Amino acid sequence: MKIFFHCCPISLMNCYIVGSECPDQEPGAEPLQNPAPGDAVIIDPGCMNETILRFIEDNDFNLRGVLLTHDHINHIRGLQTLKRIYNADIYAMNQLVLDQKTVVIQDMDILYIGPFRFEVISIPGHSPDSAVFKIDRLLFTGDVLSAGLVGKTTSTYGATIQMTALRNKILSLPGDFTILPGHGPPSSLEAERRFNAGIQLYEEKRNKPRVVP
Amino acid sequence: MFTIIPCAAGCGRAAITGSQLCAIHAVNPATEVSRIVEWIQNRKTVTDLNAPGLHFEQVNFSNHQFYGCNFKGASFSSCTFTGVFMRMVFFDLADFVDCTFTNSDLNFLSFAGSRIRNTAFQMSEMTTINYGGALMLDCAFTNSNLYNSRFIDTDIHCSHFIDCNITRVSFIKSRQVEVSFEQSNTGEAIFTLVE
Repeated sequence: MKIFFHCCPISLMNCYIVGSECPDQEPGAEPLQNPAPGDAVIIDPGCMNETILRFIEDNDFNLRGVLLTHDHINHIRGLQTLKRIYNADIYAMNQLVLDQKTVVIQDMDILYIGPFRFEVISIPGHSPDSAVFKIDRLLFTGDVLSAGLVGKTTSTYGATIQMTALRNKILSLPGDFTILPGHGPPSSLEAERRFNAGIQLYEEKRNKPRVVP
Repeated sequence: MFTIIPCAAGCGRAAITGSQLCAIHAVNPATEVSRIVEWIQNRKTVTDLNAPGLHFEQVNFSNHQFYGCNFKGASFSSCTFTGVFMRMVFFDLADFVDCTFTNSDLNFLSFAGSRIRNTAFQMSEMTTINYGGALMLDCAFTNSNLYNSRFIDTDIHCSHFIDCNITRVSFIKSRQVEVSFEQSNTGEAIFTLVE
């Protein structure tokens, strides 16, 4: 599996492309000069610029799917351009995204796209349609969980829903995972369990005794 | 990239590239280190390397390119990283002592939970890097671009950020003792969590 990341310059969000490795390429080997074409999936096309297109075309990838962690505009801005170029299915929690029909996904769905197997984990709170995509030991977390922070919410209720889902479905996953977030640098699940300031602040607030007048 | 083969001993850790076992279960970890170092030295571009938990001492990693490599829990003592180019490399829970990063181009890395002592980062592009939960002691960041990096919940002691670009660098919940930001643009950095 080959992962490409690109920080979209306008909104500073991370767009990822997951591509298949050349089947005859050993792990750790030098890249081949003329690799066979493979399948690819793009996650959160927040922009569709020359860098992303070049990665897809230089690797001769057949773009099979578009996964959306949620439909905030900074994560989907490149969607219409992408659809003009590629005939890839859009996988999202909402039926329509920027007037594009989607393949509707829900919690615990398993998506088989080309050679890839993605698990869908719904974590509402930051937005009702927030999802995390799990493939092998990687988690594409969108805005739900990033290095040291959790997704911003607009209410205490939203924060509680998000934290409960995070705790039950992500933080409780066995072993370590690599976290590839929608914004900022990467991290690991082990590090986030120990050092995430967003989780710590939520716990501090929750444990603080409240005086109701 | 990101091909992880579990240790044949069944411990769940990642096996070292070219081996069936992890650093804990390797019969002779020192031999594994020599093999990995030789493997690195023999190529300019290193991709998909798994070397978690290994101990590297006085190794010169200079002028190599690293993509999608895993050095989680590894330790680096007196190692040199001059002119290195790294993308998506993971040093989580690693140890660095007396190391230098000079004229390097580092982007999208994680040093989460690592312990970094007496290490210098000079004249480098070090953007979008995660230092969350790290312990930094006697470290110096000089003439470097740290744009969009995160030092969240990091302990920083006796360390300096001299003439660095710290635009959008987050120091939320970091504990700083004897830290200076001489000639760095602190106005562009983030020190508190805005809810």
